[in-house]
Amino acid sequence: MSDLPTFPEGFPVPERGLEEVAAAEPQDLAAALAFALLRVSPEPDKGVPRPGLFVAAKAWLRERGRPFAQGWQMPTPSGGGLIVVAVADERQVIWALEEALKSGAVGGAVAALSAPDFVATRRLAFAAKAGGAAAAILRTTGAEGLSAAWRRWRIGSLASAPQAFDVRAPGPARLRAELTRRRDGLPGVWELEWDDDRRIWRDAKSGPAAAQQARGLRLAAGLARDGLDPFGPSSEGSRQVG
Amino acid sequence: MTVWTRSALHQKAPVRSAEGSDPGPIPFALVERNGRGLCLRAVNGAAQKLGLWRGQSQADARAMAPDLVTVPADPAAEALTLKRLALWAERFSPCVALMADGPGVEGLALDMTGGTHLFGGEPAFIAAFEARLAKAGILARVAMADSLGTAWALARFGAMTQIAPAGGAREALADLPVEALRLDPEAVTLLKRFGLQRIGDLYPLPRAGLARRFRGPRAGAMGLKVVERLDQALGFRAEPVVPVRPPPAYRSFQVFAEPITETAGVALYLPDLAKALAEQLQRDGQGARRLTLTGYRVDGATTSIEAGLSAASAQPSHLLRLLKEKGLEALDLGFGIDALMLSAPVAEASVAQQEGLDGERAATEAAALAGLIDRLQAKLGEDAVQTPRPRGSWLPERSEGWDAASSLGFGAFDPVFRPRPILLFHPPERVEAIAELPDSAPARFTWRRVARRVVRAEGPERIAPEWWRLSPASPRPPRTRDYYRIEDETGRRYWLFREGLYGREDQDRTPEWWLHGVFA
Amino acid sequence: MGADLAYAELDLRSNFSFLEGASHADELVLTAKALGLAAIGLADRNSLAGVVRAHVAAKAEGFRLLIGCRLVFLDGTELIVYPRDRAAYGRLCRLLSLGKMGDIPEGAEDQDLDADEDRIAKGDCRLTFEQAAALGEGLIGLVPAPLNLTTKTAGAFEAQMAAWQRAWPDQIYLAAAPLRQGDDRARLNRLAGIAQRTGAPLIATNGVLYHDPSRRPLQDVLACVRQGCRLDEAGLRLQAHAERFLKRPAEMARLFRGHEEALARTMAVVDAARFSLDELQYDYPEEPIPPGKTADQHLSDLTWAGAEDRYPDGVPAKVQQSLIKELDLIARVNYAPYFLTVHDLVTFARRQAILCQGRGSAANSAVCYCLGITAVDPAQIDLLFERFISEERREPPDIDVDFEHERREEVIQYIYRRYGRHRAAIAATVIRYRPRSAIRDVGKVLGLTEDVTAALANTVWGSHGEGVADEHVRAVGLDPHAPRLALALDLARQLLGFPRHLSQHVGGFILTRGDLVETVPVGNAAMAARTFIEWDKNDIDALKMMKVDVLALGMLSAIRRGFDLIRDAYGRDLCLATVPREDPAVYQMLCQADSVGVFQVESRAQMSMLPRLKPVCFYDLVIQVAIVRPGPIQGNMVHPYLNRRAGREPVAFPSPHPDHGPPDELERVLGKTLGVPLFQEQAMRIAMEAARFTGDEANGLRKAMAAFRRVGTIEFYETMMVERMVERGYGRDFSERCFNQIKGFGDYGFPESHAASFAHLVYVSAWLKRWFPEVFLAALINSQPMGFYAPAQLVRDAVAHGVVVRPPDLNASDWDCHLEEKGPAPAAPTASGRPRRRAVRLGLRQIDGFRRDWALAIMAARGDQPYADLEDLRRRSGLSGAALDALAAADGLGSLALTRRTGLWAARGLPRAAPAPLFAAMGLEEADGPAPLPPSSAAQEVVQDYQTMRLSLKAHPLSFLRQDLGRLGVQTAAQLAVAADGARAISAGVVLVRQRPGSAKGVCFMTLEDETGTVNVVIWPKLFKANRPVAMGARLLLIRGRIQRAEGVVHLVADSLEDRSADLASLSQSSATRPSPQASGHRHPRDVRILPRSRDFH
Repeated sequence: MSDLPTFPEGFPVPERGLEEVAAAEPQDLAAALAFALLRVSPEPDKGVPRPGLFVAAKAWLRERGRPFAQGWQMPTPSGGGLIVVAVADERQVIWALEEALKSGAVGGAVAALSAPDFVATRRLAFAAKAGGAAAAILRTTGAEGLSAAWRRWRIGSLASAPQAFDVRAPGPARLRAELTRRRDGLPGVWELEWDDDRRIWRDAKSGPAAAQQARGLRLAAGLARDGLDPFGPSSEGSRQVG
Repeated sequence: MTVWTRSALHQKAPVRSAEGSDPGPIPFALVERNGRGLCLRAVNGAAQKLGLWRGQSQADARAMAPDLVTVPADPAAEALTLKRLALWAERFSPCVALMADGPGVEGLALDMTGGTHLFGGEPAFIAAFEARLAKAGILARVAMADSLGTAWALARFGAMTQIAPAGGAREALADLPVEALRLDPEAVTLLKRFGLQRIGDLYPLPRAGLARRFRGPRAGAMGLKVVERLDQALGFRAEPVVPVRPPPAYRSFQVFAEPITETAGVALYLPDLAKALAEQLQRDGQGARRLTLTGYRVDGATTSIEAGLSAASAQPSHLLRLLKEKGLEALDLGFGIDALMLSAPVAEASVAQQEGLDGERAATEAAALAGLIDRLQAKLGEDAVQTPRPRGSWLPERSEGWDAASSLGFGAFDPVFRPRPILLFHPPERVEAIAELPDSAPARFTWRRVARRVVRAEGPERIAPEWWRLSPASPRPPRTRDYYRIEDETGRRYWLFREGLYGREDQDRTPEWWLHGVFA
Repeated sequence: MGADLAYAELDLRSNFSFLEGASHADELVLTAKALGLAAIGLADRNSLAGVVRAHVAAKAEGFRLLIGCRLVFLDGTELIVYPRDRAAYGRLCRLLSLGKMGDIPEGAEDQDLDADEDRIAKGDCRLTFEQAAALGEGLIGLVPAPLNLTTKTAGAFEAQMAAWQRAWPDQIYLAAAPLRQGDDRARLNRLAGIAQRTGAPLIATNGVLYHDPSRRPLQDVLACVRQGCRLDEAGLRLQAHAERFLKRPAEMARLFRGHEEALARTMAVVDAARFSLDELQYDYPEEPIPPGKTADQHLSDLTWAGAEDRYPDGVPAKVQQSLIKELDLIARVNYAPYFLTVHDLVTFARRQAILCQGRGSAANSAVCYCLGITAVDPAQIDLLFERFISEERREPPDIDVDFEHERREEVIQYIYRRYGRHRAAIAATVIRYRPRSAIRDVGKVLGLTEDVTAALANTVWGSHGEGVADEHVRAVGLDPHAPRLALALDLARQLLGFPRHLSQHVGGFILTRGDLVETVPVGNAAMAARTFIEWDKNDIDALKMMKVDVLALGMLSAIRRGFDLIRDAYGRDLCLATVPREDPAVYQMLCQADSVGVFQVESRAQMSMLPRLKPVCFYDLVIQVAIVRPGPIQGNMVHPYLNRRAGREPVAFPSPHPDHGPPDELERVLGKTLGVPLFQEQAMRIAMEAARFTGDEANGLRKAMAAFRRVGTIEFYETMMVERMVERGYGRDFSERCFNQIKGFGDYGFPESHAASFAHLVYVSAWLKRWFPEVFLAALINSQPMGFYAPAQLVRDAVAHGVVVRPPDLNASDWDCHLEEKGPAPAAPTASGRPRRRAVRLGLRQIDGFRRDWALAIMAARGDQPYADLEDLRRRSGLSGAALDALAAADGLGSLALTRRTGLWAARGLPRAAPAPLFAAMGLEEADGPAPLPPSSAAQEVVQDYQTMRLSLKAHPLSFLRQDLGRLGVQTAAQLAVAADGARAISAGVVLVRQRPGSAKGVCFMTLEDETGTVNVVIWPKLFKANRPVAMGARLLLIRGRIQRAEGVVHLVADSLEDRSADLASLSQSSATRPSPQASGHRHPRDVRILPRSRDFH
């Protein structure tokens, strides 16, 4: 499977510097967080990974939920460990993020911020470059204000495809990533799907996802021939969303 | 040479865990497992009074005293305690050695050569030493002699005499039992078989003949050592004393008449100490790379703070600032300290050096991480900077622990087979839900006042409470949870659970629904 | 419930999957029946150890049980198998035996099992799928699906499934259980796909570990014990939930919705696996019978021939009648081969000159006497032998044979040679959780400190009992309602009676005609060259199989040695049956409680009974042996018996109301014991006669007492028996006492036949002691360790009886004690014509740490030429330095004119290794002279004797303290023996024995010894409690108290105790040295090894 592409065509590879990741709607925050983690993850086999850092205000953690490490098994900046910083307010979020980035001690960092001003983003972008780190500002909503971030993303949840062995169950996670602004090229939109076997995000429309799904459906058909209804008696199984 | 010895470091009976009652004179013993099973390693006064003794089997001891409280011995902790005491005793002599002869009879050896005049002569020194140990709750006997062997014998077996005058070892030892020679039990048994009970009994014997008879099966490495031990005690043969740590070359020392109990007091004396130390360093053209400030507590413990210097320095003001930045409050003065020592355990020629070569990148990063965590914790508080660790529990909220971050290491998570959310609500949030009995996923639910229709669902994943974690405070016992992974019509994914098994656990309460987390 | 919902649970483990299954087999059976399951299949991990219990329980409930096994292979894969028929079951047993022994020995060739370094450890089972497949014909296989199904693991499992499906010779299923891990729907669909592609049909199971969800905590605890961790740290190793219980068919159907066929297939397995344990037709091994004869004829011939030998003057008519009756019964129930087998063992032993004696219900029959199995003459004693075989119950006869303890192994190896390891093995003993072990294990798992757990465990006096009672918990200062403690106590109670592991029975052999390994799995024992089956005594009983107990008895070794010594020294040939019977002098000696060393009656309790019971004939000894047992004591039978015997109370037989039965119905049962039930079978017969228990009820009662003991059943039978007796007109008090006695018999029962066999050894050993005390002493010491007394006491007693005992010496001693020619003239008038009594020379075995091969080297090199000096000794015998040291330290160089000190000095002065012969010849070895060693005092000599030999022939340690003690007013044991009843007395002595029998309600009995004899001390609970450290810890005790004298027994009832142990320590000091306070503090006087430790019984 190693010959399969890690990312969809044209998808910008994560790199050092500062990006902004916003949830399309507040309910899409989990998807946005997952995407932000992807953006600050180190490339595999790039030497000893440095730890990752997540910083948020305490109020944010109360309202949005706290990081759950076992759920961060998708690409995370924590190849070398994870540090979670809970602070009092957004001012401290920015301070902690800047300290972490410029120290050179962390490989990637995500900070939950609602509206950093341009000066702050400039300082953060500079600190990220200086520390050789990838950083993402995670926003609950999109913002139009000035920012020194290299790229700006808008992330929305997508309904999953049916699971291979249980169509009534949610399939692999899917999300829609819209690059709303980039300094080095054209904006674009991608649909990504989580590949649990390879532990990567892949193109939801092509690649192994489709193949896997097809295999699962063929198997399901085989079961049906055997007199077994893998989907159970419920009619919900046939409902499609999306 | 001075030796002190004590009967047991752990004299204090612990409060009975299940009771919380008066500790009182409870017979108490430390036990260890040896070839004969569980045996007493050390006993306290109350146990001694009942006739229990070191080395007795626990079963026998309990037959005699059923209410004997025993705690497994922790040799590592005991060794540490002894070492701490040795460090504390450095206030009397820079050369302090551990005498780990065995449990319950550990001792220290201090080389006091030419040092007792500082304390007003030998008897006064012994009195002062014993008094200080007694203050720390340690019963000890101190003895002085020319040789380590004789001092040891007097401390352990001497009736009255605690000081063997110069050249008086032979006389002082004559009446002591042969055990006082620090011999293997095997050698002692053999001596007694010969009718040789006192050290003086050995004097008239032909030395060659005696040596010849004390060749055991272990002759090579250990031997039965009778003649060697006798010669050592009598000073005919030198016995090296290995100090617990080499005395630092650079140190300044201050003793107080009255114990200092406040940090302010320490701060008061610090400039003089720093100045004295700096002078020593400057004299040799050296600078300190590491500083240790040690307080000698009246209770027999030491407390210290350490500071590292990125470059060697011998500037009193610099040394002083560094210690103050480190925080003198970190010194735990307890009931007071009666001596302070400032030393430079690591010193080097004070020439600036280049470092930070490419090959040391990892080390640099590690140092940077330590620095970052320190800075974050210093400003935000230790609890604000955390790192997760797997805790081995099926209950999600117990399955990972959040510890104060440290650059020393991160918890490693194995890949999980069971899907887990990216964000977890703690505590879980109540939701209204409608579901088919007994254990179907909800068809719809309302969270934060928004109704959501369930399109796909998987479950239940059943997780029962950890029955052994009893909380007497909680009014109702915890119930089993059924977790469901749910996707709503807008493609958002949630982790819900129903608390309470239908027909099994909720005879008097209906199941409740909770949202515990969200998936990407 | 429709037929479509029929379901059988086929993946089920009982608690014989040690530390995994958390329910008893009967709980599983009862619950399954109540829930409406069609059947259950028991499949314990690599074991069939629990199947008999389950079979018995299922049979009682009329419930269908499949016998199976969960094979766990070396690579971790698993396969549950169910045999279709007897042949397939045999293959399963063979397979498990293979896994447990590595290799099944065939035939009778002598296998050198010790040499095998890869010998499979006890309890281990090493199997591969390939081995299983080779024996898998007729075994239906169920493959449990892996717990985690990912793309990767599912692929691997499918490959394994396909391979197994091809290789397995019988039907194979894919067993799926709903795991409640969240993905059950997907999981079942996925497994159904694998099943379909591999052709192994999906079958529904629930992976049951317990019968009810309430057992989850216990299962978690067991898992922790198994993994050696605490609950707090067990984490994901525990089950996430409590779902592994037996579920109703309807619930299983709901969980398998969409896969209903998987449910239905369980019934297909139930229909196909028809094997039942009832099919195990037990075949007794055939003895070689002369051609043309049947087993019965052969037995009859042997018996009558034996009778001629036993009764040279003609077989008494009564015995003849018995023989005819017994042989007839044996023939009817077809047990002749059994008697022939026992006869064969006994014959072998006799050929090897190994002393043996049978006991057990069938042993004291006339047939066994004539066959030489026992030495109790049926003409001499009238036993209740008509019940020795229960014809209606068809239970196999029970004969235990005791052999000399040092030579039993020869008999065992003979059995293996004779029958082959494939036909002979030892029965198992199921080691179960007792209160002590249960609370210890549970406490450890719950994280209670060792201190608390030990305190709780120690509140249970002994290891039997019903559990840890709350008041015990409070007594050690703990709160039984503290949450963790309460939890621990509750779980420990649940754990009680759970099997923990199997161990080999002490000597119960099971022998078969065919291959034993096709009847029951056989595995390696911990001991090399031993194998044992997976079933215990109760299982074997339940299946009506026969076993022979081959037991070890130290006294038989001593008696055989005694006979040998008498033959060699005095030329008289004796055997168990020819020792003169009913010798009044022997009974006279016993009546005076002069019984140190005598079998069974040497304990303190027995000794104090002797003068009260005053045995004057053999049957009195039978009673003496049986009466000092927990049964009669707890049933309050002792005093009534003694009173009736002494004529203080009339002999009366309780009788039922005339309406209910003949007035003498109990007289027939209790006649010989004066109306007081003393023997186990009497108690059972009371239940049958007086409470009209049916055979089945009596059987149930017996089982409630011993086998498969469960809480509640005892109470059931108690009510039943007492009420029926009362109803029939017996007094309630008498009825309750009878039942209490039965209860006491539960674990310590002594049937009359056992007592009779033991009584015979009592008599023979007493006879030896009475007439040949020197022989008796040598024989006892040479058979150590055995018996109640240490050599020091045996020697002291022998000396008191006029025996001359001499110390070990390099020129006189052998390894064993022997008799020396030149004894003094008889000290006391003995039987006329008795030769001059010889002296006992202690053997080198008496020296601590002396090795047998050293002694043999000394003896071999000595020959007829005594050693001249140490150098001579070392050169000729090649003894090591350590051996010379030990010999010298024990003062064994006396004949070289060396004292202990000079001898040791000289011995240690010799070069440590033997010098090269050249140097030796040239006399080049270093030599040095004697040294100015201090002279030793007599007290020091005695102390060192004790330290090196545990005894001294020079003096008793107390004699050196006598002057000091006399000043305190202490009297000697000899003085106390004649002191008046009620007199105040002070006594001091070395503590020999401490006892706090459970039946004595906290009273402590102690035996003190001084140079004149022993003193029996009684310490009442209050005094004991106040002086516990002294009472339990002192080696030398001074006691003030009052003399109590009754029926020839003297006790000193203590008022106060004083620990004088320090006096003992002072004995070893030369007077010049006074120990400093530090020195004595550093080593406690009790710790100084002056005397051997006392023997303490709790």
